[in-house]
Amino acid sequence: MRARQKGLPVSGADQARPPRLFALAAACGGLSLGVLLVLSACANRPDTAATSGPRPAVMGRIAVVPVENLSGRSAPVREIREVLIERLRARGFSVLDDDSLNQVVARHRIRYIAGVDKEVALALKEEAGVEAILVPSLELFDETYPPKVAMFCRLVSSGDNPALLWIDGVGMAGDDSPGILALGMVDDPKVLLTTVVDTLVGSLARDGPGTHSAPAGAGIARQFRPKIAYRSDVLDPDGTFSVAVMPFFNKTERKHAGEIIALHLIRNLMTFQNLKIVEPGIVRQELLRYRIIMTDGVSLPETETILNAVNADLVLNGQVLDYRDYPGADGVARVDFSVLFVERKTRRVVFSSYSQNHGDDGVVFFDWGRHNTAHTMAERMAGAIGERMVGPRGGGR
Amino acid sequence: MGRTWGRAKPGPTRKGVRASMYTSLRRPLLYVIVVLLVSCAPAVTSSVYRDPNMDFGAIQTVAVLPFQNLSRDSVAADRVRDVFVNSLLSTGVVYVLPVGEVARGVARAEIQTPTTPSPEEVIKLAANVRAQAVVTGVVREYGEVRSGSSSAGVIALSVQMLEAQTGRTVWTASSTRGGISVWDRLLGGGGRPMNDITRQAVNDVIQRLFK
Repeated sequence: MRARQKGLPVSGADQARPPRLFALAAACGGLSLGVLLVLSACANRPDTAATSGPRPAVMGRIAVVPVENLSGRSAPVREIREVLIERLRARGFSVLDDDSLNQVVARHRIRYIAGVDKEVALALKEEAGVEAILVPSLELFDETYPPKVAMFCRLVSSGDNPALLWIDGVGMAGDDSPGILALGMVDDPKVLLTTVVDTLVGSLARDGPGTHSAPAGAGIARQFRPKIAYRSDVLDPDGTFSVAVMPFFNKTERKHAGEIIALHLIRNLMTFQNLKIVEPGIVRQELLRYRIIMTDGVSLPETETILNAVNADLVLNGQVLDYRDYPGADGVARVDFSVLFVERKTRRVVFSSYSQNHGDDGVVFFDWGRHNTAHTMAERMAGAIGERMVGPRGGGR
Repeated sequence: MGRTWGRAKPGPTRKGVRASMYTSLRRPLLYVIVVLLVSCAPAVTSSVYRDPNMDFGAIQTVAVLPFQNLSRDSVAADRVRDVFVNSLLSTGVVYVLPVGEVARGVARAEIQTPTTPSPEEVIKLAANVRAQAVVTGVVREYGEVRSGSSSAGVIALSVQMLEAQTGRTVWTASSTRGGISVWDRLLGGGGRPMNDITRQAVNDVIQRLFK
């Protein structure tokens, strides 16, 4: 091309292949390479928020309680908490120092801090001047290559009437976005953990308390919808309901699977404006106060007692039959659970569903659309349940 | 000898004998092929009993007891019961009591083996939880079956409905789904997902209730 422009003689080979074709091929190649690079950069890209991000929605002081370990194995919870506090401070949040927090905890002999009850919330408000309490829960911390980390954080208001203000969860695996030549692989669990914490802190700063993000169920793939679902006519999609989430029955080999599924559902139901979720710590406090021991699910008198105690309209209960992450690169994540909503006035089941999925459901080409952690799958399944429950009325099953 | 036999029966006649022999063999051969194909197909069996004197329309509330588990999978009965309860509820025809409420009723009625209750226990339980019928079930088989290099999921379950007033059986149904198909044998693969065949078997059983 250049030779022709400059009036230089053109070789035989160049004459055989028209120069325009060369340019077209080069342009196509460059374009496709560019598209591939952009796609690999965008694929499952975590929200790696910078330290100078948007202004935090919570301006008051926050108490960060110790990380609740739901992973079922030993995990560096102290280090995780330190990273979380550091990132919160870098974002401009005011965090209560450990000495002040420990003093309040010791003074009131608080032993359970994975949930915020009225006593804890009031003590922290009056004695430490805390406006909200951040409860981090570690779902998964697997250091084997490729590493996997999943975590929840929820913000509860302090004072005599603690309310759930914000909740989010993130699950990531090192091979979520391998990209071209596996350049996107994350080998270091600490890097992955930092990314997860950054994403959570970024979400808190961006969304903050009192905001409702778009319902998670709207854009969820068909395969994550409940396999069987029942919705009663009593459940008005336009009505406003407060929901008390009871502990789920764990029939899996994975420890704390019941608590994990409950957190997934709380997180996804919080995105619906007409649903108000009661802080699980308050529900736990009432269960202990009334000495309710559930043998095989929640009975109607127990439902009534809890709903009256926390002044809620619906009680959410269920059982987890499978919740499985796999170590390393080979395996399939599995999630299997059922949910049941019982209404206060009619004392009847108003919604029930059964969900079951594998991490490779709907995967046709290579690993496109594969879920490497049970967290990301359960998140979508829970979102689909919320959509089915309070969304527009669909078919029977 | 062959030549003499050949001479005695000229060409066209010999062809006719062969043709008639093939015709006579064709039908048995077809039968054998059909029998072989059917024997290779995945198991789909079901049976049902309905009490002709029972008014099923009067049943509005049902209590589903824990299913008996005869399989090797420890949570098979829970899983199948879960699917059964949700499927029955989603039909909208009957109301199924929450499992926690049924557990309370079982405790109050002091039923020692809830998977196989006696008629007296059924009457007592139904009165406690205010149900018109009680459902029991047995998961006979649940899991993977192997044949040579092929494997596939299989489920076999049977369900009974007991009337609340007398405790007698008014409806039973059973279903077997899954197994290794011809395609599984030929092409390999693990058959259909266990969850799919569980739902299929449960739907099969429930459909027999409403027929």
